[in-house]
Amino acid sequence: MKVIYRLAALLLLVVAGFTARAQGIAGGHITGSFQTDLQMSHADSVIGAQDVDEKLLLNARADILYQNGNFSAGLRFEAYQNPLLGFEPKNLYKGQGLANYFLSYSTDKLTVTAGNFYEQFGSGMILRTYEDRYLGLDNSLLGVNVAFRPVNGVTIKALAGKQRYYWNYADGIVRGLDGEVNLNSVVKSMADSKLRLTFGAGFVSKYEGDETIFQPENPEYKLNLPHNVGAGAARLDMSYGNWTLQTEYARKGQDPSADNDYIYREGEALMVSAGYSQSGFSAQVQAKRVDNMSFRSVRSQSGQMLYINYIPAITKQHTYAFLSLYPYATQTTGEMGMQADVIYSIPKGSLFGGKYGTDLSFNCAVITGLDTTQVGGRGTEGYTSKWLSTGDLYYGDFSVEVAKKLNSKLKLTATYAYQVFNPVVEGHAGSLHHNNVLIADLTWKVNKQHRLRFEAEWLGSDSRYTATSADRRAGDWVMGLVEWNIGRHWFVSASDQYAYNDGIGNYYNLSVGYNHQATRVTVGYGKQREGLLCIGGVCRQVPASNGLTFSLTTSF
Amino acid sequence: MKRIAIPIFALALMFASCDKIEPDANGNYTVYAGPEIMWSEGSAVADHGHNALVEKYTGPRCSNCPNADAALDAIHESLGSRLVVMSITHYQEEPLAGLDTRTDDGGEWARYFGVSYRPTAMLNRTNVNGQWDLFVGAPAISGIGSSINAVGSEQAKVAIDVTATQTGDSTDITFNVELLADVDYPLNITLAVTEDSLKYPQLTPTGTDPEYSHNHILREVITDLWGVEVTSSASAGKIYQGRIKVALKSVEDVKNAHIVAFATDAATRQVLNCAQCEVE
Repeated sequence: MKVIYRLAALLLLVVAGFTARAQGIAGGHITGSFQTDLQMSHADSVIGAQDVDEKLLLNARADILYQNGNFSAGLRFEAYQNPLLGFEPKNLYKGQGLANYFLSYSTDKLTVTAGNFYEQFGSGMILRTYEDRYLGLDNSLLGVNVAFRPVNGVTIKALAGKQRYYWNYADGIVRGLDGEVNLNSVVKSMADSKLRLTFGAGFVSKYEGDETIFQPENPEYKLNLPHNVGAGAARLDMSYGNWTLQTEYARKGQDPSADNDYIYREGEALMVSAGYSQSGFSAQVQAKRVDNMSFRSVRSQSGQMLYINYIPAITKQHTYAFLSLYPYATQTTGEMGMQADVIYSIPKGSLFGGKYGTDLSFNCAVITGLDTTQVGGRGTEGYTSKWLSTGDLYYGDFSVEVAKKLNSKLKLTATYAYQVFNPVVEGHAGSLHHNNVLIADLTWKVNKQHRLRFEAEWLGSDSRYTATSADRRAGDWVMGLVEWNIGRHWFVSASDQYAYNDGIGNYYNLSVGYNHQATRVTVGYGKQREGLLCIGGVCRQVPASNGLTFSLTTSF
Repeated sequence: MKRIAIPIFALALMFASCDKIEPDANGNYTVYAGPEIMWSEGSAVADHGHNALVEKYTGPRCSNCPNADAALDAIHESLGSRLVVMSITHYQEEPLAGLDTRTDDGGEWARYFGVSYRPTAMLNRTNVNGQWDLFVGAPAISGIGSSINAVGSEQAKVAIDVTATQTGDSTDITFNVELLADVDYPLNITLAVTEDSLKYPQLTPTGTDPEYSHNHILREVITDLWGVEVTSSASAGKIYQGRIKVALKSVEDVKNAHIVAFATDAATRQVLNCAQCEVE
């Protein structure tokens, strides 16, 4: 932490010096944002909520960005006093201080950043550093990042750094190099071509010192660990008229880690996405195969921290409550799957389109494990896998959504979805859950000042709540929600989720909010179900809570 | 050309920074680790008493040493497991004949603690006003019992237990270290092997006993000489378990061997507690 404070002081000095030369801070401008979340919760044995010893929990952050010409500098202050429920381990999160700081200089040809930075190569399969405040995740790199653009259409990135680990930085060193060429910019004859082509390739290497890890059955022998682990990827992004195609293949060297129980099999991943779109219609098909591609800067790390790479999710990111009850968490150690997504707008004036037209959406996704054969345990190749053969079903869903404006004041969205969920993806044993979900979402613009939204959801599942499994998502559920927007400033919402069969729990929530320009204040009271919060296939376990929440966000 | 030379050079460097490990004939990516300790969560130690470690420096040419042996045997008789004895053959004591029980580790300790005379004993490696508290000569060692009793009446800072099982040529040693008080110093654990019933010539006050039975003889230190660190900062109640698998090649007969485990404050070298077990 001392290093952070010293560098923060340096940052302030540099900024001060710079502003003095640039005739004061008026030469640049400062932007920023602030967010604070408070939570109170008390015990509720039915939903499994625990008493909070601190009575009041707080997460807060302030982002400040200073820009002046080619120069920019930023910092982020974070406070967890103590962290909200679900930010575990609590002892590692709690605290406050400067969590992020950087200096950057950018011209047309060059961008140099020193300090904390976020970067992504391609789709992220070999490198993606990012932060998500709701997941409590920040794997930024502290180091140096350089982007060089020698000619229009060519970008070369190079970086080196250490990843943030709560309030410290991990020991592993990450180095990366990436190049991307847009042929339509580089080759003059292709400048106006319908065929748009971009190629890219990257390589990331991490260094980590030795440690002693034994084979359990042979404790006099320790693993001969690679200290430098590399991963490379090549990608293509092309389009022709209404057609698009993106694909990326990544390969990783031997990387024995806690994620794969220290096996030496090399990793690989392939992702293909093809699409077609025209007015009123779009279709996209995605497929991926991931084999042993967990890539972290510390081999012994588990949970969601210290990932160097990111495996994109290809399941639909649902927003309705019962559709997102069983989110799919990407299995970086091995999975394969496909997704198809079709959107069609039935034209206005047609038989089914009516006066205002009708929007239809279809989505279907299937994710399975790999078909593997075990060849050994820790300290061996681990397993072999058949490339096009699938393993156990992990997740499947099909959803159809119809959105129709009924008249000038009413809009109805109706959704049906069918989901199959394998609890093994959350690390639990058990049989497949089969869920049917029906949703009706009606928005009524009462007048210019008032808007009401009604939401009704039903979930029918073959899962059953038992004290042993303690899965409080199980069973059959109904939900109702009313949301009232009053003018531009106020909103009130009330909702209740109730397990009427084979489940347990009654989760009611009431919230009131006020918006003014870039400021939003929300106060809520109710019960939060325990479960997984997933964003982009990356998940955080959220425990049950029962009490008051307060949120304030603003930007300037 | 210069523009692409730098990225190509950088790319070559990057690809070079990727290790490739080759497996052995059995498909294992392992190397011999030597005796290293595997750590895990421990289980509570049943005995929270404060045991005493007496390190007795002797030698086959030390005619007064058998008297010290007899005195310690008598104390041992009354105290049982509260007393652990390691008999260290002084590095200057060449054997009269037969077995040479000097060890490099014992020699290092003797030099470090300034042990010149035989017999000399140390109780828990205690330092008083900058001087190691040595019991020099058989009469002094005979009177060590009251000091051992004083140790036993003190509250222990850590509790230790140790077990050892023999499978083929391999000895599997498991020990638990339970913190009975907060630790804010480097807490080390040392494992050593002693052996009883070793028969080799010994000078006695009355002559030479060619078949003298030597007990508690230090045969080797399994860990580093000054032990391996358990923790340097932890709260009372924390329990550590260590497991190590070794081949006890130094001993004549495993059935007569004991595993001695003792915890020390690595900053002061003081022994905080100890335990020993037979090899089952």
